[in-house]
Amino acid sequence: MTQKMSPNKKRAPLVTWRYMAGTARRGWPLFVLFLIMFLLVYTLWTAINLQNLTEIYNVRRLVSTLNVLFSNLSALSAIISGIYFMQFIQSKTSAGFFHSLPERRSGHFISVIFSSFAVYLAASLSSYILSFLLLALSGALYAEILPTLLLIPVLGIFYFIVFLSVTVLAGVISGNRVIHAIMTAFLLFAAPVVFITAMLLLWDGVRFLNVSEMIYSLDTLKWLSPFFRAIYVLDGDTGFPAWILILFDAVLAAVGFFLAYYAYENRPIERSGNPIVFPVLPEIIKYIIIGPTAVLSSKFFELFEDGWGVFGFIVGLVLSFMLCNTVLYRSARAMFSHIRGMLIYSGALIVAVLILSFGCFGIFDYMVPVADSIEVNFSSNSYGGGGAIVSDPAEIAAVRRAVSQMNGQLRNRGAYGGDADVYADSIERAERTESLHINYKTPFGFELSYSYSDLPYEYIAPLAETILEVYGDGSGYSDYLKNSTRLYLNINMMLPASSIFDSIPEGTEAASSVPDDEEMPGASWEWLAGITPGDNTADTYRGALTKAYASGDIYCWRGQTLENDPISEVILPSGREYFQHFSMGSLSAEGKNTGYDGNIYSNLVDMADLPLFPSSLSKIGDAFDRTLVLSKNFQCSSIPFYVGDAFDGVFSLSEDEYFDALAETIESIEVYNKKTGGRTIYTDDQVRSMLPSLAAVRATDISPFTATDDDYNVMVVAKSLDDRYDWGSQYVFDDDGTYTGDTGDGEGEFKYLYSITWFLEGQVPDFVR
Amino acid sequence: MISIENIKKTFDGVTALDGVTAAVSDGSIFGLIGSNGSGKSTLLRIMSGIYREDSGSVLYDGEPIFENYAMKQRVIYLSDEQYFLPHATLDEMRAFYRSAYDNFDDAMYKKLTDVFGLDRTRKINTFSKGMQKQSSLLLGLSVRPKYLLCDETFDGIDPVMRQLVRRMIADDVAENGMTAVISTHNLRELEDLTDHICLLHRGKILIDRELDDMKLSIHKVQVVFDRDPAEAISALDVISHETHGKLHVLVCRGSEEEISAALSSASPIYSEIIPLTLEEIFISEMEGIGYDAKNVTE
Repeated sequence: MTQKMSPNKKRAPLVTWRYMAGTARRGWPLFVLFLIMFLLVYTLWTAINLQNLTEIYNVRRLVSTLNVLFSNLSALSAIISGIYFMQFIQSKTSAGFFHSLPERRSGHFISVIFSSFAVYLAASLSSYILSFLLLALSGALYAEILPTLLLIPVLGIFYFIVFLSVTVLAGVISGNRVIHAIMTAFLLFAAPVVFITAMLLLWDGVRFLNVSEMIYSLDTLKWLSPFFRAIYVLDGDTGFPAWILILFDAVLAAVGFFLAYYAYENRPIERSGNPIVFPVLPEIIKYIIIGPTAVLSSKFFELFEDGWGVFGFIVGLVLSFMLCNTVLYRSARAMFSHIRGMLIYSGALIVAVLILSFGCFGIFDYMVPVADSIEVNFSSNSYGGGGAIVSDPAEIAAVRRAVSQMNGQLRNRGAYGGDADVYADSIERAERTESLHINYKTPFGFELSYSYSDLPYEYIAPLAETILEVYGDGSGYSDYLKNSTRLYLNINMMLPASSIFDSIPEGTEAASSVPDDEEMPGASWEWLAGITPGDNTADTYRGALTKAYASGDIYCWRGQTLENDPISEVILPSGREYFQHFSMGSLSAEGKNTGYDGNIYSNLVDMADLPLFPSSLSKIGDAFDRTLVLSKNFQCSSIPFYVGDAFDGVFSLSEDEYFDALAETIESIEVYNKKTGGRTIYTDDQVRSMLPSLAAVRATDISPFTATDDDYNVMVVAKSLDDRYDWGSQYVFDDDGTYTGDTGDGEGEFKYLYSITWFLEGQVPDFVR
Repeated sequence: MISIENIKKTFDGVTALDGVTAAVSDGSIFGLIGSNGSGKSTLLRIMSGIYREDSGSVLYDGEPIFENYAMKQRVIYLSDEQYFLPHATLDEMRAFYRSAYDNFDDAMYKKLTDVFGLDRTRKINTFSKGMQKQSSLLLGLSVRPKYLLCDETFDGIDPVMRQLVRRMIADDVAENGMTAVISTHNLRELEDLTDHICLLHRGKILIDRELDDMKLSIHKVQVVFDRDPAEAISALDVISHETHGKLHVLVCRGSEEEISAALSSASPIYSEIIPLTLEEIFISEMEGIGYDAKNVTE
């Protein structure tokens, strides 16, 4: 029979103020500790930096640092004070004494919270106010930073509450102070560790899972621990709305306090002094610890040599089992207790590993996560990159099916079990390989990344087709997927044509040829550096570009690897992480080469010849007075192919003849509405009729590679020129991209793509609207 | 009045209390005795509202004690293991008690510290074990409790101070109507103090009687017969029986008159009926259930 609640109990207060205040007063040593801690870290840091606060930029940086310091100190204070004020229940004697006092458990609980908070608040705010005054006296209280400065204690108090909830919950289930500290760490980090372990286990079976990206990424870890959430929020530049994480933490803190209170109300005081007071918990905690320990130990030993992972697994499992038993049951005699449970548990782990490794039960199919959106990115050493974000439910389902099919193919062909070598043979045969990165955003906000490296095209064909269906043909993306060009050089040029050519006297004929190879070695950067803006002759620029390429001093990337030294700072005023970018005078160009093996010189000729039409000679009037970015995909073999080729004798053409000639080289003009996502494709006669309108658009500014209209992008897609040239012997691929053999000379069917993309800034042509 | 009704308590599968039922009258001194591990401390901790019983109830004047703020104001539990705030002096403990108890009596506190001769400004952890017990007791008595629960409170205190403590408790009971429940293994002292005895063994009550009744109902008999005494002895409620030649030493339940009547039928050559001390009663009862030194050592 349990006792009925008496009327007195119902009337009794949750806590008596006198007792609560007395508890807080007993925390004075903690107040001293916190005050010293905050003064030495927070206030002292402010004082040290006072001399650098003449510029608001420095003040902003200081405030940002102070915010981080305050929040970190607050979290630390929460853990220390929680452990300090809960020590009364961490021994049998003190627990007995305190619970014999006329105070309800709610009173003890609230007193702990109140006292912790009061002591922290007194110490931290003293330090904060002192720092605030220091900033004020040094004249650093700019109006812009004041809101942030005032938010510092708010955020600090918030994180104090969050971490206090964790510490209090840990304290209620613990039976001594050491275990209390350990359990606090356990509650903070158990979920991330279990997650990392699960990912490593999955990785054993699914090598495509991009484990490292997830286990080192705060994007995922932020959901698993307030510690990582705090880092994420304090980082301040994450792109993820901080208030969601703060709200998440607030809810969890409330839940933590509620759970702690509920557990305390039901805490068996007679078990105080035991490591864990709730008898059911030690086993749960033990298995949460030993599983990850075994897996991590296995991975650690695998670093030394293949096969040692099994040894590591056993060592980690047994040692952690023994240690957990000894600590959690406070007896070395308990070292091997519950060994049957350990055997069952380890058996289950092994079975899980085997299932993953051998792909039993169609596990690969299930390895395609449910997602709210899927980002698919292809990159190949022959095609460059391309990607798509799929968010429509039907399209997501189609993509998931395609990935599942791909995973199934990989499994059936032995490409599972983490054995990346299985690809090797097929890679040798395949002329086209792809790397695939798929990022799943799950409904709970987790991001799961899958990476497939150097996969023969045939594997990704279903997925590629699916993406094609989603995005439609003719999008440019289809070109990437469909065509078989092995190498390309992608060159974007931004030509502020007026500034380049205005200095060219009217009537001057631009060079119709470029220097021969023999002339190239003479190029020197000193010479290039001597070019001054305004010294804008077509020949000069063309020659400069030519020599720059020919001398090999150019950014040239193969994948993520820089192959060549960058063009000197003269040419590249600022390093760019991607795209070769060089600038001479007012001419800017960027190039990207993901695997060239051809004669880049000829491509330079193409590039150089393409845009350089002096405005005075232009057949399209003010056409050069616009910002025109030309994007061109080049075949990097020595093929005399360039747009200019279509314009032999262009300078003698009339404007109409020029447009006619230009129209012949254009497959389509595509207008992409950025707001609606709509795309309109114009072809044939429509193209010709649009060219004058396009040419009439003026630009107002030069902003490399961002010169687009707010609403529209206009792409001019060139015709493929495969019918004009003899490509020689070429590889032949089937529809799935599988290499099937070589053609005879002149029989290749490559569709060499190039496109001219005009990003129109400011105005857009009439026809667009 | 304290009503203990069918209390059961189990720790990790070990039954500490198994259906304990007892009643403590107001203004009495209730002696709680028992073998080691019999459940005395557990019972006291349940009676003080520290532990929650698995089943049964402890009611003070009809009200439960567990989580009962008002009732706990009237109950002081003095544990066998004293607890004081870390590095606290007596005065600091007094402040702490004042923050917890409404009725803390400063005058009583001062008086008792003077009586015990304890330094109020000295850290308690520098006190001897006996002085710490005195400290715990004086703080508890300063609360002016209606119910005082003592768990081996006298152990470690010197005889003079024990005498003083006993007198103080007896005075408080007599003058203020305090009710005391005292658990101790020092049965000699308890005998002088208590009104009522409750003997616990393995979580169950063996004896729950007024001390005087108990003393009148159990006797030691030394008797010599000139013929077979079997019939006479079988008429007695014998707890233990030893023979030394023709001398029979018996511990029997029953009044002196009942025992005399039973013995007279066998015409003993010599007989003497001696009242037992509490300690002898305890030992006899424990022997009666097989808990004697011989059995324990075997």
